[in-house]
Amino acid sequence: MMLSPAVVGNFWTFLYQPQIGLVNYVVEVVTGTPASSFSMLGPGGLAPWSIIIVDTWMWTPFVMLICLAGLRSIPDYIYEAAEVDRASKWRQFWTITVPMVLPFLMLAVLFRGIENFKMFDMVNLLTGGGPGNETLLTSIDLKREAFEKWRTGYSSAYAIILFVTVFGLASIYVKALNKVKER
Amino acid sequence: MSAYSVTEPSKASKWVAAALVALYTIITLLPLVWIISTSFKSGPDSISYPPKVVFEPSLEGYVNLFTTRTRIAAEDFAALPPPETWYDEIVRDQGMVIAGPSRFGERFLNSVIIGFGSTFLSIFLGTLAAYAFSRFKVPLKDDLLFFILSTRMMPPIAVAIPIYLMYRELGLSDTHLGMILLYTAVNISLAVWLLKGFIDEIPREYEEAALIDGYTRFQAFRKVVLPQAATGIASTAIFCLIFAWNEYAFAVLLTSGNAQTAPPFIPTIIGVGGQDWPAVAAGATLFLLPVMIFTILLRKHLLRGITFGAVRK
Repeated sequence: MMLSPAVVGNFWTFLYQPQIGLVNYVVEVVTGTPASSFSMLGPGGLAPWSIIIVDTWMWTPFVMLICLAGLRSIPDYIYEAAEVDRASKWRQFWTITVPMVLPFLMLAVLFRGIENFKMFDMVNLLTGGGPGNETLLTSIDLKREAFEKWRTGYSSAYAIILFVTVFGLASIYVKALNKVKER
Repeated sequence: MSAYSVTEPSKASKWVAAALVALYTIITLLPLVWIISTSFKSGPDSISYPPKVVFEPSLEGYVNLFTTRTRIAAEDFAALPPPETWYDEIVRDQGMVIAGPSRFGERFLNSVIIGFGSTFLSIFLGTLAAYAFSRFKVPLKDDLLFFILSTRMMPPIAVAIPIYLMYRELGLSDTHLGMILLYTAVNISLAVWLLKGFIDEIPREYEEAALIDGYTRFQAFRKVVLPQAATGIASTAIFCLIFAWNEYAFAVLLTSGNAQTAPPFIPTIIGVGGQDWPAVAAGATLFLLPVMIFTILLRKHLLRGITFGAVRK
């Protein structure tokens, strides 16, 4: 989670190597599909999933930490009161745990949403937007326009649109989050 | 009614939970373990199939990381005097000779200079700004704070375009100073938000007492607030350092020869016929190690740091 996405992402290309990679090996052992019959980063539609796997691997602990903080913030006496009222465990989960952790979960979504919208390091090293344009994210597209085709004006406009989008969505979301917090 | 505490789970569910956590930990750690183990493999071992779990440890990756090597003609190779040092020997075993040191050391040093420089600047400016935000009536305070944070919402590539153009005019592109200033600008939002939280927690009464005793505002800040905020400042500094250390997008776009940091350099380590994976893994291990140690030191404030102070335990 704290490690450099670039350096770790780069190493994942090694784990994803079509002939020799650890991932292909594990898939072969578990499912019996020959390791050389598919390529995680190459053509065949697996590349976006490969990125999802790395991102999930990297950031699950972050969401976990936030949820843990949320769970710890619930005082025991609420559950004790529910137990006295003979509420079932299931009911306790939905009427105590979920509403009280919800602001924390929403916060996690906010952080991951913004971060993933900006995602660049890992994808640039894993696929560079390829194969073809299969994993062409906005930031990769922007990099191509600005630093490979040198269309400065076009890419500046692109950047402004991105910024307004994220800023606008984040402001709306923060308002909703504050409402949930107040409840 | 059950006799045990109602919030305490049953024994069976504890075991299931422990097993799941253990499984998840193994899956999470596997790629990291693989990086470290690959760094100690020899070239052929690293790309053998099926992947080797047990192998003969070798320092080839580390030697290749710090040297550049060339292949020479067979008769010249045979005529060479026997290798003098252990690293000479490792390179000879690959059928090559050392041509000189690689640029990894230089890149690593760049990372250190830029990381510490920008951390120092952002903590210095951030502490002052956070104190002001925490203690004074600042017009439009909330809007300003949100605006500071908005620098974090843009993809770095979008910011890199104007920065690139400005730096070219100012002669700052590919210099240490340029990168330090840039990382300071990025990190200062984190520093202000985190430090404001830490300073908010220090009771105002201490300073007020100091002010009544005839201290000036600055003396009160220096002698009362700073010592109490010390742990907060230290952990904020480590966060800034880690972010600057890990930064890739700006580094890959704005630096090339002179001020390039380690993250954009490590993926370019090339061996014979593609990437030299043991060397890449060795570079990654050396690069990731400080962050791992710092993260362990930080574990108390970890969550607070990555959520910009939004979640406090």
